[in-house]
Amino acid sequence: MRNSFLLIKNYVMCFLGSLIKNKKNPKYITAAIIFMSFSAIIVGAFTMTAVTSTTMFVQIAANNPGAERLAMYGNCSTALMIMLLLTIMRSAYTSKNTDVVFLLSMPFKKSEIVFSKLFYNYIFDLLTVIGVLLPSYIVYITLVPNLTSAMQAQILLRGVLLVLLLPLLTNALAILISYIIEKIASLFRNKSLIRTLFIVVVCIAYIICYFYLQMLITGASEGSNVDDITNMFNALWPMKILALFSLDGDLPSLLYIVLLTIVPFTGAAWLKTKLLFVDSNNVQVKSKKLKFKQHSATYTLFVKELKYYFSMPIYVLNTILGAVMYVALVVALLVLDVDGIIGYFRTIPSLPSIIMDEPIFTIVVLLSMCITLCVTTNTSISLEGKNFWILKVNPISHRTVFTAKVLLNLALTVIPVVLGGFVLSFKFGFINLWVLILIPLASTILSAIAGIYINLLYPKFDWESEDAVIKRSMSSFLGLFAGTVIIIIPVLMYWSTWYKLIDVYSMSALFIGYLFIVISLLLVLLDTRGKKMFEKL
Amino acid sequence: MLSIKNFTKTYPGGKVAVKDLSLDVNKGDLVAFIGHNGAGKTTTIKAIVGIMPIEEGDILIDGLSVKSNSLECKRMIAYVPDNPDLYESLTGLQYLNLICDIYKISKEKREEKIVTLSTQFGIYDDLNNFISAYSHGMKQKIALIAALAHDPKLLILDEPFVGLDPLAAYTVKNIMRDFCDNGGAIFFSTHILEVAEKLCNKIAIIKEGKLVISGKIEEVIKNESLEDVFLELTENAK
Repeated sequence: MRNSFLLIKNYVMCFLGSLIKNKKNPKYITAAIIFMSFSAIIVGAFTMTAVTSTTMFVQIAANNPGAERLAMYGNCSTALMIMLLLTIMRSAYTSKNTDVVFLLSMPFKKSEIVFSKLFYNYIFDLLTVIGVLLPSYIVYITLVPNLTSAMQAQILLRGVLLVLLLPLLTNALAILISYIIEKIASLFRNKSLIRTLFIVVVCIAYIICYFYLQMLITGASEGSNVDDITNMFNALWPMKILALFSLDGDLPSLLYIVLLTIVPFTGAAWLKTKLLFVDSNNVQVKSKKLKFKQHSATYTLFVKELKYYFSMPIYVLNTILGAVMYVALVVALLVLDVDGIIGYFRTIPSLPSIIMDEPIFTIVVLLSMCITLCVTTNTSISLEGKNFWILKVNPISHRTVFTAKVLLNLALTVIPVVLGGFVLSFKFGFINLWVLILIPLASTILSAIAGIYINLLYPKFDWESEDAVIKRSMSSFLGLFAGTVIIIIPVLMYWSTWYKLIDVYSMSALFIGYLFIVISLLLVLLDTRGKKMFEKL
Repeated sequence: MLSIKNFTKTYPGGKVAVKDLSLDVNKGDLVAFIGHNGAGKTTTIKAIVGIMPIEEGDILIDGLSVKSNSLECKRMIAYVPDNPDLYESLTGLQYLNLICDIYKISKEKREEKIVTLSTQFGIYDDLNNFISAYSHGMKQKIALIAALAHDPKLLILDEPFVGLDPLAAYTVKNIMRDFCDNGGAIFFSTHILEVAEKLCNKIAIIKEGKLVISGKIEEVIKNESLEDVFLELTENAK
């Protein structure tokens, strides 16, 4: 055990060292402040959601005693979704375990090495769960009336226990999913591609689960019979267990929680110990026929980017969501009533009626914001990592490198944008085709180019696993929202005052012009300052 | 072919890695660059090939400054690092095709070069496998094939014999000798003094960022062995 803690301490020191290393760099300090502010906003948003739902169920409880308990179901659904998301993220992350060979040569037991690695992962999951889930328990005991101090303390204690236990399950499930995917992928030559495909399938399953839960919660909030709503929630067994444990803390639910968390974690740790440094030989083929083809440098680098992208499940998962959301929104707009989708804006009193009266601009803005979340360029230079020397020593211009990286981003977004715009024009009229295509198209180009510049500002080459760049780097975080921020500024201006001066189509034309001006400015910036920054890397 | 003029490299924090280094490598020269660990060999090499920016002094390739004509210089040289990290999501052949595309090598020429060199290195049968499945030596061979595929005028090699099996090391030595006999030039770092002594016509010894001596090997070592001269020079320079 002492050795395990020694290793955990080492991992934590390495992590802190990577943060402290840049402490004197002003741009990293700015980025750190932005990151902390954003984390605070996320925690605040989850807290506000908990306040809203708890208040609503407390009001319902005035006429339906016991309805306040449904607020805890809401908390538990949040816990479930976070747990599933963390599971998917963990299983998508294929640890390279670069230190395993070294550690195995030292007087460490396999179990100690595995325990230290799992505990290190556990700490990160725990921090997420604390930030997102724990405030909802505090909100519950604060807002629900007639709870004695003892009851409040017990609910909070059980909440803390759940927060501590749930990351064990996420790690256990992730190990199991990774193992199954690895087994299947080992049957194929291109293991990494198969691994990515499976993870995308798991991700789609997550989205389905998410929408199912959202439907349950919406149904609950619209229903009037508390028993029916409770039964609807109870249809999802893990949520029922979590809720009953949080509310009542009876022995069977406690046993279930232990069975759900500690037992799978122990099993997964055992499996991981057995599999530690089991050499999985790649499927080898003897060259039968070698294919020699000549292409342009841009094309060949683009193909390289494409192959690299699809070889990394974590990269795909972190970037494809925007495109998936875009397609989902297009489908929803085609199938559902438009008012039902953008009707939320009606609840904001300060927004003008033009948002609902002329929905095309609002729809296009929503579509554009979705597609700008699909950005691969914000980490693509950092991801060159130890291979970066290849781009530096060969006669490749900065333009060729940037173009290939932007092309990868556009390869993922342009097809859904063009097809989506075309399909939507059947519903919203062909006269709107140019708005439906050009604004999202310009938005995705803009976010792709901005991503390159942000990555040049915050490069990170000294990483052991891609996970550090894709999930934990400044460029990844800032690049994700850069496009949205650039888009939202003129949109808010329009919604606040400009709508009185210009109609929706004039605004759309101006907006497209604005986007292309920003794109041009960014291109000039990349070609001047960006070039110098690239050469200095 | 290669002219290093008063090159100085100071790292952030003030550590001087290379100080006022001047060196010439002519056509047909095979120059070994020797020095202790941390002496400044890799820093110099990285500046020559464009990985590291040049702040003081200049480096010329065939008369062109690396500072102001970076791309033109890179078209004339090829570099193989001591630990070649290659794109693991590509096969060996896909990587070689990528490098050939960058240098705009025709289909016919790349086929002839890649088949010949991969057969010489005994790696032909593995070209369709992913680089992730390659050993260190195999990656080194792929990097060497990529370096030679576009007929560079100057080869820059950082510890080229590390990780190679004896047959591959022998092949590399022959290729290096032939390359220089045909008018090319090679500048390489090594710790293997016997190889430097037998293979090269010139040597350059660096200690703590300063060039201690450079010149034709027979003029430098005279009647001693390179090992004795190296130890003597690096000890005396303390």
